[in-house]
Amino acid sequence: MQVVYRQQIAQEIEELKQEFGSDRSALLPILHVMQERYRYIPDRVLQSIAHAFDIHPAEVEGVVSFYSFFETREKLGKYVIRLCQTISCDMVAKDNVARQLENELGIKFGETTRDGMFTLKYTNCLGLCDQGPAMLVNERLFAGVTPDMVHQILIEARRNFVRSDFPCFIPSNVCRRGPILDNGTEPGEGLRAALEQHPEEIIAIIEASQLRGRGGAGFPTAFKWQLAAQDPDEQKYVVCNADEGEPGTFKDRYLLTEHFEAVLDGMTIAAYTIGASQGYIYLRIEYLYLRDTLLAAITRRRESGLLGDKILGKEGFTFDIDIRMGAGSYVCGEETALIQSLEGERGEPRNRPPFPVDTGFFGHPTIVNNVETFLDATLIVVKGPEWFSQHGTDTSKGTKLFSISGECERPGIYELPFGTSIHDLLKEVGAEDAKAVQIGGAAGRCVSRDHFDRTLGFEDLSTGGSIIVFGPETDMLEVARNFSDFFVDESCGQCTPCRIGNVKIRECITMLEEGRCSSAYLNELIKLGDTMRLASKCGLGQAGGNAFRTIAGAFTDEILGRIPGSD
Amino acid sequence: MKLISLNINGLPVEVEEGTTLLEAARAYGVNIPTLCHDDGLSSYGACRLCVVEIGPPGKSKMVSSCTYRCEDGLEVRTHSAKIMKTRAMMLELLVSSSPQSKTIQDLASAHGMTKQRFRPEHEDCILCGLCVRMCAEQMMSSAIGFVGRGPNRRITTAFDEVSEVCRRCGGCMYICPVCTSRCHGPDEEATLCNACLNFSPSCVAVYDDVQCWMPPECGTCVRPEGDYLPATGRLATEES
Repeated sequence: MQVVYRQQIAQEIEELKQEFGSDRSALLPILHVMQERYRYIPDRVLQSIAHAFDIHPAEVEGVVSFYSFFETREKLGKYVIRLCQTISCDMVAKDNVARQLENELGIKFGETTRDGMFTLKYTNCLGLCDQGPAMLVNERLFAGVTPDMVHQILIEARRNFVRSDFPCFIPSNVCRRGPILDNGTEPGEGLRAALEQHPEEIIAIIEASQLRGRGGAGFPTAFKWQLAAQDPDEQKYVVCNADEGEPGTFKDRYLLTEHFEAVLDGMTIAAYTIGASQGYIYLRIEYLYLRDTLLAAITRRRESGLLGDKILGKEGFTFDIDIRMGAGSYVCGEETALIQSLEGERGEPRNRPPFPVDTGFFGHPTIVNNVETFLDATLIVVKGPEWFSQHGTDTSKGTKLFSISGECERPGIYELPFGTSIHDLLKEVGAEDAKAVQIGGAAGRCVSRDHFDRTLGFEDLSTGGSIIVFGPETDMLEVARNFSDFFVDESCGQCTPCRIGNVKIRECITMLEEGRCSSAYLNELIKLGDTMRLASKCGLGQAGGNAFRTIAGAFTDEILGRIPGSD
Repeated sequence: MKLISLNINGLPVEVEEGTTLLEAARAYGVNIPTLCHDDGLSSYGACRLCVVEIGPPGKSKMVSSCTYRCEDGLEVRTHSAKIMKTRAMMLELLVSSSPQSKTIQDLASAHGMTKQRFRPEHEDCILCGLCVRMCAEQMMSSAIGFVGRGPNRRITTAFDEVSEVCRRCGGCMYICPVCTSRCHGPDEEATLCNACLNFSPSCVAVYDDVQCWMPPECGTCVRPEGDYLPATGRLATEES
């Protein structure tokens, strides 16, 4: 057993504080290092960290226990195997892989092998929904895992992946490109174009394009930037939300690898527009394998004068970008929760108002935008608002990236204009016999065959990009169970409707599976879903009952009156 | 101090800038139920009982009145049908998680809840966070905090051990809505009420002719059914 001395730990923490800074926002990065070093975060380390930051141990424990990638109880194995349990992977025989992992290692999920080599865990969406089942071994990603591959992967892990047969990086399938993906802009081009203009002109350009946030909520980007720009505070922040946790979404992963320069351009343009000097990219821990490449790109930009002091010779314009890792929490994709997490707190949504544009990171005005929004903003500045707004509908302009997974012939990333009907979309991806489509991931809604004429867009079916296709054979109750498990797992538990409501929905699904749910009770639960939508504190809590409501509403006959064990 | 004029339930009111909707409503005698709010502590907005509707009908949205600050010209409805339904549902969830809390039972009863459809959990805590804030803000101690998330969220001392910073002041117990006036169920020897002896499930049902001595006038068991229920607050009971 590794003996850990208090003094030594304190010394280590001091060194880390030198590296990450001594304010509370350094807490998560330090916890990450400690987790990696000791393979878990023992109470002693927590105590020392609390001492070093002059906060109470109860607070540090609260933070650590909030995130699923931190472990406080027992030491994890050298390799932590995390198998994705989210719907897209679940539909492609994830269970077989899970059983094979258990067979090969002789342990159950949640346990560690006796030699301390492997820990098995389930995790939520890894962003490889089109190539499932996906698995993460420490930070290494495996796509399309079959039970047959499991043995090979474990052997290679025992050899520390020296000369591995598996690819280090798994590219995304891009099935249809459009104006955004075929943009053909050079790194820094957008920024150069922007710096020739006045910040107010940039806001006017974005406003003319009618760009709305690409994360799903669709808040007008120009308005957000304008609010932040008007604020008299001298310290402002730009945050890129790369916490792509919504099941079925993987387009940000692609954008970060292929269009990262343009995203950075977008962040710098935003900083110039609102007058920010510091930016953060909040990257989800599942994408840890991207971090080094992204950091290298940021360093390159610093060297070529696109970041740092006097950017492109512009007097008085200083801006730098840092990457902060999440720690395994879906709720942190919500902007106020994300800011909480950046501040080193539990990633729980705050009460709004005040909104982040007014009181954000450490109380300063902060704009939080999706990766895709920053990319779009760059391209709008380069090519003009008309280029962007010629596509789409009246209220939803432009093209949007959709991550399409599930039972279709060609899953992958599609760039389509808003206003595309589901029918057309399904024809495009080769799934015309689909039974239903989930628009917007677990937080979205399930659309049945009768409504395939509905269109994608903020006025009808709003989505951050996740579209999951269910084939004719899909058991919709299983789908509902998967989503409800996801929400029970990921709810922060702060407000009553989301915390208790999701558990009740899951109970109801168990009752349905066992065929002992009355239709009156089902109706009550649908009403409960409605109440959650109205009364929950944050957008994600409000969406918690959506999938269940829509599935139970559209497939009542299918889910009621089951005889257990008959299928 | 700048005054802000808004409209609560059709009543034009004027309040100082920075006042929350809850404070404004209470100042004008509109009672909004709360569980996670206390005047001496920061607002938390987690129990969602204090939700109110803002904006014109049809385009309204629900916000927690304990955290939302008054805005000029805001139209607020505190007891609309939608709100009452939401509160009733919230209370039903809370009753199912902590069926033994007198405070919650009283509130539920006042909102017309006569039966509980969700399976009771018998938790002792509704995670309102009052004790955590009490400890941190009034006692300057932070001996307790939240750990875990979702259904595993709970309130405890650091590492589940006796806290070094706890002064045993009892502030957490004083403020707790679940354990300050906790109903311990029927006990013929020790309790006066005992109305729940005859109820199923527990004492959330209505009973006619039993005297209740629990302060503050809970009335769960004594008021006849239908007497006190706001028509809009009644839950749909098709199930029966």
